Amino acid sequence: MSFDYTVSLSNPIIKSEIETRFANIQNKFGNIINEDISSDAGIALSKLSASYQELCITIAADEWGAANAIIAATPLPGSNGDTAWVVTDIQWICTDSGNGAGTFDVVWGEYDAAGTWTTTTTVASAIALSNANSVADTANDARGLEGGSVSLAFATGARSLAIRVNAAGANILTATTGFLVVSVILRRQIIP
Amino acid sequence: MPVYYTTTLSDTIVKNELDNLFDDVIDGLFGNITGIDFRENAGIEIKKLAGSFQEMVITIDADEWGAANAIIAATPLPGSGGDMNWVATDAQWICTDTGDGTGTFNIVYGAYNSSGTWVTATTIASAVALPNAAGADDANDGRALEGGSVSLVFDTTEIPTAPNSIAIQVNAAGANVLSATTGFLTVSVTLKRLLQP
Repeated sequence: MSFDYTVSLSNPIIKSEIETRFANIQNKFGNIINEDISSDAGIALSKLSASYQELCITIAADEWGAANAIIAATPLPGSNGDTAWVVTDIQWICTDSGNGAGTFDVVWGEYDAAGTWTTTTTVASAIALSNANSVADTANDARGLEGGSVSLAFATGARSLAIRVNAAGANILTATTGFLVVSVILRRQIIP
Repeated sequence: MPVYYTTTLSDTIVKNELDNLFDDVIDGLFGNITGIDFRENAGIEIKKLAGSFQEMVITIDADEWGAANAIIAATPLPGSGGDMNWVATDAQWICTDTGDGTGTFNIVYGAYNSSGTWVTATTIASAVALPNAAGADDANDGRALEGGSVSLVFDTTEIPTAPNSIAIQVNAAGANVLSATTGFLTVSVTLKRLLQP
């Protein structure tokens, strides 16, 4: 927006000059453009209407297991002190839901120095692998978490999201081919 | 740069006082606006930014081929009914064994229905060819979608009626695709949507 600015007022001051200047300044509000903002303005993200990025982590298993077994895991790279990602949504798809009685957890953790899985945060627990239409061994899919806010803190060591068998049920993923894939949506503010 | 008025005008306004005041205002408005000039929670619309989209990549991994129409791999896309749609812009594949080079596949968005049967809501890319690189059974790779704008609509209903996964569906079976005991077909799909509140 052009700004009609008389460099110097007349002397004595003329009423219309002042009015024009104030009118121009008033018109500027609502017409601020990129060039008006300092190159190092550092506008806080909280002043934007939207500032969150998202990503999707998938965890794929092709075999089931006994209760508490970690059957698949996907690392989430990051450094200690990084802003935590927050889990908002989880969804799963499975080609063989067995007898429909199996359940699984989505957990955040790591293998310890002894090679044993240690859960830091349970993201979602006892997600049911229900049969479609109550028919055994059918393929099915469902939501595991919707609109959640589970924070995943980074630590000094690597951490992963994993599928952990909760209730083993029976006959899940028994075919030589088949899969259980879990997707997890994470979000955090865009970073500097 | 905030503009501070630390003086009051003389009772009889002096020209230089006004000139200085206006200079301050002009300096503040043009090229020197900073974060503190904006009100907290100003709600600046991201469409007013030069860039406002986020992107992510969904990967779908298959280690076996199938007959025509078979769903050989799928990856869920979590979300809630009413969420802003993701838009598929690009897709690419890599495969260790293209068989006789006549196999094709679709990239589809859908779900298993209440009978456990796959239902496609949106076809992202169809009949993507798995050509040989130089001869039969070669590894190869290619683009399946480039600069596209395929919208993936979240449904307001709960699964299994709502589409929720991106899948690889065999289109033309060809012959000898992924026939080795080891090998893979991996498809990556780039999705974009606006940054979220």
